[in-house]
Amino acid sequence: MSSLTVRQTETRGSIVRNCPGTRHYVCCGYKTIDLVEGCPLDCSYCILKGYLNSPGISVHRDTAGIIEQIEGAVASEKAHVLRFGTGELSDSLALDRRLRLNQPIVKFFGEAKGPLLELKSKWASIDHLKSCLNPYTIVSFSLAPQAIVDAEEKRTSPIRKRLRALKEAQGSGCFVGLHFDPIIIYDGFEEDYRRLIDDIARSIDLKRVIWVSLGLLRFLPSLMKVYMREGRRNLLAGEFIMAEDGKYRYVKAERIKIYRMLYAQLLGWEPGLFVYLCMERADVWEQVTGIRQIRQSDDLIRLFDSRIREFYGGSR
Amino acid sequence: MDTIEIDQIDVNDRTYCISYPLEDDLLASSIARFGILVPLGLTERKPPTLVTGFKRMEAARRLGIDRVPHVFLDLDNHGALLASIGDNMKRSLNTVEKACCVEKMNALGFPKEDIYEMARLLGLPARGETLRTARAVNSMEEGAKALVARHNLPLPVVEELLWFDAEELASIVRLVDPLRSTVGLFREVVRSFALLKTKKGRIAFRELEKETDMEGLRQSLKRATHPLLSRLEKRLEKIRETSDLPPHIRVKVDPVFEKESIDIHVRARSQMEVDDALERLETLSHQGFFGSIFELTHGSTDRN
Repeated sequence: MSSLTVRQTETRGSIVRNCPGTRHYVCCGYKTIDLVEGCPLDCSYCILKGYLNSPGISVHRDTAGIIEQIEGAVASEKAHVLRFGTGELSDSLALDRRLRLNQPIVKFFGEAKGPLLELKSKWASIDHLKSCLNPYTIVSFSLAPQAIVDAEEKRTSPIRKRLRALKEAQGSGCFVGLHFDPIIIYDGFEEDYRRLIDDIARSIDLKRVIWVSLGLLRFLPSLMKVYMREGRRNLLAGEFIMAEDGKYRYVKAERIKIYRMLYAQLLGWEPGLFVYLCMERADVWEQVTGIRQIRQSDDLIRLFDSRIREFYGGSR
Repeated sequence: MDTIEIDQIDVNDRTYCISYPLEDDLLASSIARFGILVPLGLTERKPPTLVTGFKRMEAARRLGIDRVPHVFLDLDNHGALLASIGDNMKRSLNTVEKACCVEKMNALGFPKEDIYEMARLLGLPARGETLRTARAVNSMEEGAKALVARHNLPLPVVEELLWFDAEELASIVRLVDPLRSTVGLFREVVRSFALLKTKKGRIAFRELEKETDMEGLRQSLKRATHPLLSRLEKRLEKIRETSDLPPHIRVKVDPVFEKESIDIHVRARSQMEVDDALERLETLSHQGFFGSIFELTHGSTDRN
């Protein structure tokens, strides 16, 4: 990754933003801190290919200004515990050993002892952060069967390394998050996911997993052409429809079937796990989890609040 | 007007020819009746070659005309090609011809900015990919070129046709060329072919040969690329059939079964018709008509 062009960008306006949710799909109310825009991992399915229109990677180094923006967001939210993440427009850790952007932010959250910071990654490198990791930093990894990592996430860390990093993060006093996103339908994916979940359950302490997200592959129309041109058989093996948010998604009946399967497998290992669906419809939530009251973003945010109370105590 | 014997012209030199196809029945019948009214543009070389009027020349030859009106044009290579393009831009060019303009300018060493400027004038995107596409279109087999011209396919559809190898493209041409289609439907069918190729690694063309219209071909491809969605559609169709819904009550369901809600539309001209419709809806509801539809829209059925 050393040959990549990384340019510093002047921070203008807000880089602390609301996760761009869409109508008809329940958003979890996440806040993003876009320290880095662009990703060196270049996963074949990456939605950033459709969002970012400039090549290369831009970084924001105005730490004081960024922290001020985070403080502003926290101050304006009295009702809920805010969850922030640096892995929306990039991978949180892929360049961090070199750029050291996360450290002051991690320290800030450790001292604030309220809002949570999530480092979401496919790059198993947390050694440089170990000295400042704290319970208010969630170390999360996106997880997929190794067959998908080999074919579609070629520059990322292998799953065994991600699991080892998760275990180390738990050892450093952090809670961790697991993200099955994107879940890809391909020949034999059911068995591969079953094995993956088994491996996870044997590798880390599931009781110290604060949240698990499930999100089936979805993408912008412009990427359909890219996948076809590149002959991405894995990515297009399932059946896609154009959904109400203008993205291609698997047919709903299929999504429900797969979410149910994974939900049952995860809860089979640890019934107390908090599993949520990333950007899904209310009726899918109900079909998969049996929870009827998730109709809009606020409903899901309340579920998060209650999960956070379970882990940290407090009244919110 | 000065005239020249066709035999004195090197008619095989197509350096400046951007017309495709050269055969034009309407032009030929006009020439048969009125003769060639606009003189052909020729180079001053010996023997002279055509700069403008390739279609007129083709029609004249087919009609057995041996002398044609002409003017000699004192132009260099670049000037001659631009004269040819300019002469043809009076009419609407098809994508093969547009690609030909771009490719010939490229081949004759025009600066990139000039080529992009021309691309813009022709309504093509001014970017490097257009040059690559233009070259590929020029290298297409005759059948594929004819398909593009005959169906007036725009560049984005042609770009998608280029995803296929020569053998696949020939099979696609054989299947779709005889079928009437709108550009939108054509595009959808080409997309489905590409999707099928990506999903399965190959396309079973023989299984599609039975289709005699474009809509049938689209449906066949959809069944192959979207078997679950096709099954859901079929079940909805069956539910509708058994409900015997009267024409003044319409139940609109999201065609991709993503929206959980359905729209019920009643057309009524009197209180009595409203009452009738409500009664019918109530009966249908008791018979489980709506429940069956909601099973599909909620993706909750286990019979997928």
